[in-house]
Amino acid sequence: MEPQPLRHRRADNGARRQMTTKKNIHVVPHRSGWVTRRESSARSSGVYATQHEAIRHARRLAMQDHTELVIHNRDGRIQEASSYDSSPGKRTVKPAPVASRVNVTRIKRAVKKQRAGR
Amino acid sequence: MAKYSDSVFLNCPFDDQHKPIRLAILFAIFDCGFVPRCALEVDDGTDVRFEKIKRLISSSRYGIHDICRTEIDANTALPRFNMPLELGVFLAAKSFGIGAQKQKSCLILDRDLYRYRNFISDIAGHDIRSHQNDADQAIIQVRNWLGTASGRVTLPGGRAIVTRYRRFMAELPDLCADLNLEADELTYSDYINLVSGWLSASPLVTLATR
Repeated sequence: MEPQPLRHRRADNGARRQMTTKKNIHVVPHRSGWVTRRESSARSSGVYATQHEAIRHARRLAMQDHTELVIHNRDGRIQEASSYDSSPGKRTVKPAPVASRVNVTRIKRAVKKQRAGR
Repeated sequence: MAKYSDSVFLNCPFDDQHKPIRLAILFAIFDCGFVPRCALEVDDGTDVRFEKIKRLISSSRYGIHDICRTEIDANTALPRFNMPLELGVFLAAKSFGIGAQKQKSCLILDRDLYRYRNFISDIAGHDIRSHQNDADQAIIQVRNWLGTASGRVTLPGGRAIVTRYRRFMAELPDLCADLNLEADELTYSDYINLVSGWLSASPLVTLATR
């Protein structure tokens, strides 16, 4: 059962979404509960009684649009951010948190050299 | 600096016997788009080890705790308690910590699924899975758990990671030779940099078609 917003400010029509595909989705506190809102937009797409319901709705939007979901605390600070901006298999490989005797540029060059030699 | 939500604290035996599982888990963490954090990454003699571990735990949202090493040490005739201790600190941070610490999530690995009941039964109810002392199983368990715990849809499949890991290990000796490193004597920092660099230079599409 999908969470139902207490009220809608705006319908999610296709044309409008097309224009905003790359905008992150935020879950932010509101006087009536919690709202989901696209980045740099003053208007919310729905008001929810609980943060949990708002997150469920926002996650679905973020997955549809391949964008980021940013969840805020009651005090407005960022509590968590999850990325849905890639399709499966297109995740970003993070750099190692410590330096090594050989730097990453040399490693990448060596890998490419090996591939070219085959 | 790795982000809290990308960091995975790895608590496992650092002996040679456990090396195949440890290397496979490290590879899987990188291939899933996360960053492993481990006590081996800080090589500072002046740092108190336990303080270092607490700092790493506090900066990691996720934790993988492999508690498979319960045997009596051949030299001391005593068991080692470091891994259960670090698991306890991680669980305590989630229970008593505030803010982001409350979001912590951990995977507990052992070689058999229900063996923990005989030596640390109080952890019943947590996410406990078995790698059966097999590197492929360890990769699949880590991948499946990270996918569920993070909710991310960008993770490659477990079998795809296993395939890439085998290919990486096959290419590692030549790669090390090219970089003037000894494949058998790689340090932790060398290994994780090689994994990260190799994965970055190996687009998934290219790998999948080979």
